[in-house]
Amino acid sequence: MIVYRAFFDPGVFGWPEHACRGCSMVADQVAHVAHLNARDTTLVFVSRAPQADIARLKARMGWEMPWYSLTDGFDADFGVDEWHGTNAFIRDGDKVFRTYFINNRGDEQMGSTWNYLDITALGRQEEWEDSPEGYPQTPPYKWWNWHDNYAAEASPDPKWVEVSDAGEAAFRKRDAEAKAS
Amino acid sequence: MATSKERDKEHPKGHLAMKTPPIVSQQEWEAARQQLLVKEKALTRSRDALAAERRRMPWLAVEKKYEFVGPEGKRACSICSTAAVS
Repeated sequence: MIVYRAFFDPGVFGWPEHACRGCSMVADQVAHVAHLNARDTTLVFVSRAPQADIARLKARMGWEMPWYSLTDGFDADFGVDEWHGTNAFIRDGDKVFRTYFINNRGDEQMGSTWNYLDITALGRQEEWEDSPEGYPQTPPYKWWNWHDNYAAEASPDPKWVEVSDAGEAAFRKRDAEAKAS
Repeated sequence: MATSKERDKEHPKGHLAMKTPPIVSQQEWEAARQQLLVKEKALTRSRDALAAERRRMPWLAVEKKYEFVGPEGKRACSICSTAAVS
């Protein structure tokens, strides 16, 4: 799970019409969360604003990521009470662990599915990655899907597996030929 | 903001005010792109290696319970997750 602390708080410049400009830039970069969800990863935004304001902001800006209101010392405990920042956590049974934190210009890389997965404890969970033994990994391309089609297609469509294998083989062949010439 | 007409007036030759790189042939442009691509590939590999190192970062147990308010009201959870909140 990835938690981005966005400053949409009473008293912050832009309130209550807008979230902070930097945080809004981050929000505008966020890819469809269905791709993260397909890798068992959840992205949420958190702010001090009440839910009614968050719902209004999301509707106005067309943002669809889950966005929660902070109620306690979560922000102070995870380094995001004064500045924006992105924390990554992992759940193992009943236990939760903090695995990563990035802020400052690190946050400007955030938004794409790949960069988000790259900061999670398990990564993209693709076979080519150098990960510790036993980490979940499946072939690249195969798990990719249209963002509205993950639920309907729980395991990769065999036809797509065939097409993506052929595409990858053709690409590798061309690459090898280019290197040889 | 200055219109393009105003800019043309300022720079009668129609050139940009800034000092721009040379204009080259297709072949030279391709060679320059290939040269840069070597460094870009190195950066990609290095970013993959850094991500691999990141996955080996130690974990820190989260012991406290935190409460978040979502669209459906208050949720108590060790960390806010749609899968695990009750």
